[in-house]
Amino acid sequence: MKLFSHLNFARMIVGLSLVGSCVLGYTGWQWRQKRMEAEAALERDVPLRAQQLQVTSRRLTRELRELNRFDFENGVMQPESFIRSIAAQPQIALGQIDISRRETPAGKGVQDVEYTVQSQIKRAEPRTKIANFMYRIEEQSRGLMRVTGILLKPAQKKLEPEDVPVDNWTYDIKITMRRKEEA
Amino acid sequence: MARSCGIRIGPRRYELVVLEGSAKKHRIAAFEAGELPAGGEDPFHEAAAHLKRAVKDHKVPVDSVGVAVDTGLAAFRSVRLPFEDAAKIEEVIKFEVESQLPQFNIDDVVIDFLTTEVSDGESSLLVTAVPKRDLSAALELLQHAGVEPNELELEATAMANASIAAGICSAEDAQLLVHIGDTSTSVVVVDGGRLSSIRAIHLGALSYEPPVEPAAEEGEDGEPAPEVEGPTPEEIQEKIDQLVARLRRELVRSVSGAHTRNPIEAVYVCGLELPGLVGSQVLDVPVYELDVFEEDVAPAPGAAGEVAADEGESGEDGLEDEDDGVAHTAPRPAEGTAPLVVAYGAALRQLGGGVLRPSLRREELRFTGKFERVELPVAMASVLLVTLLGVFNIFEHRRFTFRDRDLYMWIGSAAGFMQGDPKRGIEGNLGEPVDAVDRYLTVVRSQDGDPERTRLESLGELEWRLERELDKAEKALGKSGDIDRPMSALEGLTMVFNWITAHAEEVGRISVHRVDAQYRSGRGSKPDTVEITTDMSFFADSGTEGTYNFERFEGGLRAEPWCSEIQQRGTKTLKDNKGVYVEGMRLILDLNQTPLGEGTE
Repeated sequence: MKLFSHLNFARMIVGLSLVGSCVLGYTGWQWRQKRMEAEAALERDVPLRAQQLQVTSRRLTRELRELNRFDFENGVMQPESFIRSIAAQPQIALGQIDISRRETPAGKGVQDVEYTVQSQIKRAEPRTKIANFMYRIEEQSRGLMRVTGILLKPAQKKLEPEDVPVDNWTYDIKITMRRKEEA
Repeated sequence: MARSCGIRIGPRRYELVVLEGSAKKHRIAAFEAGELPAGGEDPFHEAAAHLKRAVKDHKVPVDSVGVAVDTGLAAFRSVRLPFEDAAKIEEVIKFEVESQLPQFNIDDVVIDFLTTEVSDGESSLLVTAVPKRDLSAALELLQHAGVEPNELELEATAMANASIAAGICSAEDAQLLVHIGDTSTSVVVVDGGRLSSIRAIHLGALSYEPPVEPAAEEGEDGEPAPEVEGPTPEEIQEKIDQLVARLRRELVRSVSGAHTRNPIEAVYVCGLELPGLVGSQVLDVPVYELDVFEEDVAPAPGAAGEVAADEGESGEDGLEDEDDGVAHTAPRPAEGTAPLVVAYGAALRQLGGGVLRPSLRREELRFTGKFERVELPVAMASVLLVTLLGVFNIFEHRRFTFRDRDLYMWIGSAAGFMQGDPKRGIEGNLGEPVDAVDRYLTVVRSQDGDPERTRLESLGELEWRLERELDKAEKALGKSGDIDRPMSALEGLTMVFNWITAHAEEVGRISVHRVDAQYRSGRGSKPDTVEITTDMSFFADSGTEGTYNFERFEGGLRAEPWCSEIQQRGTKTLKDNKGVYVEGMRLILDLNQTPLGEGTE
């Protein structure tokens, strides 16, 4: 206390300088930490993270576009419409098809919605068309729909074991969409 | 308990008093009086060593020491100034008094003042001028003795403080306080309890003695210097008598010349003893011994010049007087307390007592403790430190700004990639803008960025927002991993046909007559499977070779990790023995074992 009772210019300078030094030391240290953090990040993380941002944004774009086009749950597109749209695609052209729908439980809180696709007139189709149809269903639904049943029978009647069947087949295709049970 | 020490340093003698307690209630913890060594080869260092020993012996509190020096060193002047403010007086006093001190160069003396009267905005001052050289010599001696006194004053003021504190100076009369020093005598006139004037008489109790010279050195021829025969006791007594007579004449002048409002009731004498003075009268004014220690300080046997230097241990056998606030105990001087009055007054002031506040430690002689000595370099170092830290701050801030700009470039580039530049018609790659992301992209693309986050934090925030939106989209699309999708019969069938194509040379030509591929949901620990039932013809040159082909087909599939089981009900030979036909063969596939994973081609 004696020190402060005899406060003079030099002591005032010392006191103020000490306070100033503490403040400046702290802020300087903080700037330094920030700078080192930024440098380390620029060297290691930031380029990768910036790239990853671009990748994520593209992924998000794709998903959002798909969601806009293919949102079964929000009713943007109904599954049956989707199946028919695939069946009607130029390289497939399965013609008139019947789709039957059945819901079965697939575990706790999960439900399978099964769509069975058949030609309305039991028309036989080339194997490539049927394969394309099934592939597009899975590919364009981005895995939401799975082909879980395929029954292919040759169109040719009275086929002997030693016969090589003509590549036209009648089909009975089961497509399953698994989803959470609605509360 | 607070302790203080007062030291009187005279040309030949010294006194030391250690007080313990407070200004109002204290006791003498120790005291010592004696002669400073002189006549040796190095009298200065011997005197310093002597004082150092005394300081050590009496455990002098070296941080609270007041020193009184010979009043004979000072010149006194009365000055009247037209203001009362002490700070103002301090500013002008040196210039005001300069013309009145022709014997001194004003820069070579310390000028101090005491206010004797204040009336109508005017101040009457008693100005003291003491050569710095003399004060420095006293300080140097004490510093060599290990003491850095807080204050220097004259014997006169220390005596006045002791007297006023002891209640000797009443408000109804005036007193003449006299301190007989070694070679000078201080005369203080106190009127109505207030200082009126100070005078120094250049006659002291030891003035009759010639100054002691340093030890005579040997002569050129190596012979010791011849001894000089000293004065006889009769001669000494005669000199003392002459000295007392001269001093009495000076005191008569002082009494007669004192301009006091109240009558002078007594002359109080302290310091060294001169016979025939105490108990006499000066112009009908009685002369008493100045005893600020009250009557309980009983004189002890022994000569005044041989004052015992014992430490005073408190309170065991000593007397204590609490009424007057001055409590003191043995040890006490061997004869009389008068020599200790000045040292006591100086010590009392260090405890906060005394009404006079003279200060001779001024200018370059001002008190400088350990810190004071280094405070200027410390201040400069502090300023330098602050400057360096300031530069460091600026430097680091600039470096950070550059790095921050680099970060901004990266983040801005990524944000630009997503948002594009609508003004220039450049479409962003985030084709389906999401409000939460889009808004934040605009923020991070601005130069200022997100005010609540650093650039790095902004990057993290952007990542988080994108991931959140992606997660929401995937959930909306039913792609989140919380539901196991059923196995694809198409995938299972494709794997079998791919296998056949890849191993066409081993299994020969195959014709499929029927295919039924179904997904079977697992139950309990049984995994999900795809079950394929098929009718197939294995064409060959013979039934045997066809059977080989079928067996290679069956064995090959069994070797695949994703083929769990094959069930078959035998083979039929084709017509003309051109191979075999397998009807109702069941293949059970576990697609979780496929190295291809999900997805088919």
